[in-house]
Amino acid sequence: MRIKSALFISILLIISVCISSASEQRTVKVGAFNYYPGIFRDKDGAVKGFYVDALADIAKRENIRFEYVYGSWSEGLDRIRSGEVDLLTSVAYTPERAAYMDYTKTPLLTVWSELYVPLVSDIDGIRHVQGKKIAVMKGDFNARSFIELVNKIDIACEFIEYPGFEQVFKAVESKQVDAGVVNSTFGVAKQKEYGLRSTGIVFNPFDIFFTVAKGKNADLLKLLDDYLASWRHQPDSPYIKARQKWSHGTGSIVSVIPKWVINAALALNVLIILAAIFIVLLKRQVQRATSEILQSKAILSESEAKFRSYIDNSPDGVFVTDENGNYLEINPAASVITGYSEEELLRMSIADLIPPSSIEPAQNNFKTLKETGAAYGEFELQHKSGGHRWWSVDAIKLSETRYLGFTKDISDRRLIEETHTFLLSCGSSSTGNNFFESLAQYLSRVLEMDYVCIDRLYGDGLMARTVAVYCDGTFEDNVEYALKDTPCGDVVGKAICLFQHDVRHMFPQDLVLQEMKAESYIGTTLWSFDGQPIGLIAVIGRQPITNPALAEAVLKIVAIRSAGELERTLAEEELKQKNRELERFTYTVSHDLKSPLITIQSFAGQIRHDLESGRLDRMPGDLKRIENASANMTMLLDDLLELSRVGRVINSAKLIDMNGLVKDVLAQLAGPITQRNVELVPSCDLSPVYGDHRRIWVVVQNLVENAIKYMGDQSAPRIEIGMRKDAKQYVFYVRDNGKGVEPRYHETIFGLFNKLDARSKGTGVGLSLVKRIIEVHGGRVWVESDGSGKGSTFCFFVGSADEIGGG
Amino acid sequence: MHGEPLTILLVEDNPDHAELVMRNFDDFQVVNTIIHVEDGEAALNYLFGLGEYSDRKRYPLPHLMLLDLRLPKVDGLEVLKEVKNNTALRVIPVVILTTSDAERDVAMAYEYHANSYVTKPVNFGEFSRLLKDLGFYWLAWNKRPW
Repeated sequence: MRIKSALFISILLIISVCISSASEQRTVKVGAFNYYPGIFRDKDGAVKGFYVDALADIAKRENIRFEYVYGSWSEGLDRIRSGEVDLLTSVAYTPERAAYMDYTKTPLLTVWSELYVPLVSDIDGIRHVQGKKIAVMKGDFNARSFIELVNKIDIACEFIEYPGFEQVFKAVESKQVDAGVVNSTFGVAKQKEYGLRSTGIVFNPFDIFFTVAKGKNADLLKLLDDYLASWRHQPDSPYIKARQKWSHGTGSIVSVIPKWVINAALALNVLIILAAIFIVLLKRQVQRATSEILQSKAILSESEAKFRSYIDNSPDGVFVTDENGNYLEINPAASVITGYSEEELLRMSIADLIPPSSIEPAQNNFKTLKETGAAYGEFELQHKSGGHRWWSVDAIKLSETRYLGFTKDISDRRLIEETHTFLLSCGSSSTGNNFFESLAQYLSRVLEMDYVCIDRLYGDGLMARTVAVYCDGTFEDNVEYALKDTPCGDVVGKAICLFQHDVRHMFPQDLVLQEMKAESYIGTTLWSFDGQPIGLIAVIGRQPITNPALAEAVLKIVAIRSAGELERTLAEEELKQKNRELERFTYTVSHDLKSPLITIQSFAGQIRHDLESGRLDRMPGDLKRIENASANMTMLLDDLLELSRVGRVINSAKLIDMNGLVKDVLAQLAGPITQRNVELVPSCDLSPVYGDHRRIWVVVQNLVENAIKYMGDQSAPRIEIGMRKDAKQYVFYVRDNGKGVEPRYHETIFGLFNKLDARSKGTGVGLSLVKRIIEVHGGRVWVESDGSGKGSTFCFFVGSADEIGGG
Repeated sequence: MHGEPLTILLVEDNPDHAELVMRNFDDFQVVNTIIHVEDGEAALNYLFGLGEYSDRKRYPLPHLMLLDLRLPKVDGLEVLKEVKNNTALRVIPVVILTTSDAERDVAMAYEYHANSYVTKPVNFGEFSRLLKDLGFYWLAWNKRPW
């Protein structure tokens, strides 16, 4: 039982302590209103402010709970009167209020009234409020004071009431009014927020107190009084701290920055801005300068590349050497010309490329270059492959140690020059055959081909006869050959005929090519002055031609001279031939005239002799001989005259009816025909020809006469006059079955005065005349006969109309 | 002067000239046989005993040949050459008797070993004397080859 009661008693005690402590916590209702920063309702609905903080401190110490009842100022007054709240804050003393409220002795705060205006306002003094709109808080002590003040100094202005200081400031800020009256605490705290400033018009300082309802909560009043009294003057008291906190809180930060700092900052800002501008400008300048530099660098490098490309792409070699001729720079073309690579050349000097024969002139040339600043020379160059080539060098002195040269491979040009020189030197001393042999040798050497032959054409251009043959270093005997199926056949009529390789496969029938295993062939026609092909040059090699353009050029150059030489040679031959003919002619004529003369003279003498001796028997015969001889002489002279005339005078060619002509001739020779009993074989139709009627008549007459004359012992003599077609033309013939002409006389019978039968009539001029006439008519006459007793066929054809004449 | 009869081959294409020669040779007291051929082919045939001349009894080798240069068929010089190149025939003296006095002909004739060269003069009197002298020399003075 004791434990139970002890427990009960302790529990009771605890509870009573709790109750008493609980009952010791006192709840005090406080009337709150908007009195920023003293007391106000924050956005979150809580009542805050430095009163609140101070009271909170007190609450902690005294175990009091303050409960805030928020409303307007007037409501607050009403509430304390009704007892709804126990305490009010920041109340100013007025006798009326003292009627129903008790004040603490120590003031909560000393405040005053202040007139606030926007930052830009023309209200500077109290007088300036005249006629202005002034915002005031309803029921506010400050307002009342201000109104009293302006009334006192006879200033009339308009007053507009607002529920709270916030609204007053808002009205000023939004320019609904010109100024607003608030208490100093609020003004200081909130001026920045609304962008307002104090006009400096301050007045009516007064204290504000905590109040309670009259006669009630005296102990509370005393409590607060005590705290206030001690706290108000303690610098770090909660009250002071709270005040400080709330006076310098949000929206009421006072820039406590010294003016010099501001100025300095301003100045610094300006400096910074200027500096920034300066930097920007400078940067732009630098950028521009840089881009200019880059641009000019680009242009320069472009220009350099451009000029470099000229040098690199130059077909001529370009090089730079030092004063000793060592190569310092070379371009690709120089490599090509010398055959050495760039690297190789840069390790060489000029002297390395010049063969011994050209060293001295090269050195002299370099000396000239050093002394005069420029030099030109042509030298032999030792190509890397070993071959000798020629190059021209045009050099300029750039400085004592730098020399610039431009070089070309002039081997081809030099060869052409050499060829010209060769032709010139090959002039007076070696003409005729020696010329052709020298030329053949020369061509073989410079064109590096193994076989050269120079031919003259004959046989209507189908055959060739060589005038010089040079093969593998020696001259060979001249030969004749047919042009068919040889490349030479292709050459005739063309300027240059070139087969660069495989020529023997293109002309399988040409044995010479096959034997030689010829690869390359180049040939040219030699033309006479009047444009007829008279010869050709053929050059054959066992290797394909590497420089066809050069070979062509050389051949063209020599062709002209060769043609000239050949023509000259042929003309010489012809001349000699003609001279020989002339000689023979003269010789023959003199002989054949002399003969009858001898006869005449001698037999005249014989006759005299016989007369003197009285012998008469021989006389008639002898006289006849004399007469015959004279007649012969006359005939001879006539024929000779005719022969000479045939060449000189020819009537203009007309179309001749051969059928009619033959008929006339046969009619003319009717006598001898009948006499010899010749049967005339009917002939085919003869086609007409162009010619001189009288002369062709002579031809036919002579041939028929001969046919009759040379019948010999033929018992059934027959003569046929006809026409057949050969390859190109119509051939007329006079065929007989008489004595015939042996093959070895086939040519000679056409010779002048050649008679096969001495006793036969005629002067022996007949066939010669026939030949001459036919030749003048651009044709040919010949005999076909197997010989004795087998008859003969004399054939002839006449050339076309434009072939007649001349000769 | 007397000599033995000779066989003379006269190669001459002109019948009149041949007649002259024969007439003049006839005047000699010695009867000589003159055989006349008219062209070079016939001459060679005779000398080589060909064709119609194969009978040597009728056509003996001549002791003397009078040869004209200008002959049909085969030229006189050709005949000369043939004769003088032949061992059997070259002993026969050949006298060129021709109208031509051209240097070349003379040279060529001697080149081919003609024994003598004589030009027919135009003047009859001279021709006559020439033939007489000719005959005299060759027939009387000259020792014949066989």
